[in-house]
Amino acid sequence: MPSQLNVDTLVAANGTDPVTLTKQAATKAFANMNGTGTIAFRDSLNASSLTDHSAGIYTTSWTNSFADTEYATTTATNLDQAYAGDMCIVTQATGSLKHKTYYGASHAGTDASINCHTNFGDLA
Amino acid sequence: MASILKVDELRGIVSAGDITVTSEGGSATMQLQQGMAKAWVQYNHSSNVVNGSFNTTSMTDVSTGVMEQNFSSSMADGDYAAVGIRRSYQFAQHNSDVVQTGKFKGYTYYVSGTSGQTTAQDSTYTHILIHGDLA
Repeated sequence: MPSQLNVDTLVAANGTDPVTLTKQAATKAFANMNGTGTIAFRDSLNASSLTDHSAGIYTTSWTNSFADTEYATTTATNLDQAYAGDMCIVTQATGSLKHKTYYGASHAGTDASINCHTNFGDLA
Repeated sequence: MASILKVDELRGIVSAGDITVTSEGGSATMQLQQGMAKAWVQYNHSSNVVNGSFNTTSMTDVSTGVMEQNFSSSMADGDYAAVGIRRSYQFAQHNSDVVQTGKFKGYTYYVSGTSGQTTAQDSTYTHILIHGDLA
């Protein structure tokens, strides 16, 4: 018979350390943001605010910082237009991620309506 | 000695879908459910074969370079975060369709012109990862 445990908070046996998820890892932050007009998150986890630097270049600030700058970030945008577009990392800091959405051979920054990123690593 | 709890299903008490876990560094807490990937797939678009997947009933070969990932359990809304990558070339979310809760549409292409012009292409290895809220 399957067992079911009802619990609100999981911690390690010592009462403070994080629990280990067997052979799994949860993402620590993700975002789906609108980069056109007034930039805004559509949905996010552990993301507190957005900074608009210039066309296509934004900083997502984390609510809870990462332990270091070695976290893994993956991205995607909806720039499937006549000219190649992509979304890349500019800089990773423990408290934020600066990213750029660009298109064409010149890699000019451009505002896209959908910009997504996910981030895996250790939180502070 | 490390303790191991063996259980088949975890639910929150106050809210069934809300269990809090502590960060690795111990200074933050976050919701366990929000961090779990809600769907992923590794898809061979060239031969229309799913190599591995989670919460994915099937892949639809829409046209050259364009595919749909059909979810077993739908997302709560169209605001989920979807990222992807393909071997050698580019991946993008499909621009011309409204994002749907029951499926995600992706697009793969290569740069075919010196000014960055693109041409759609099926990829033998396309990876898609979905994060957000399930319905």
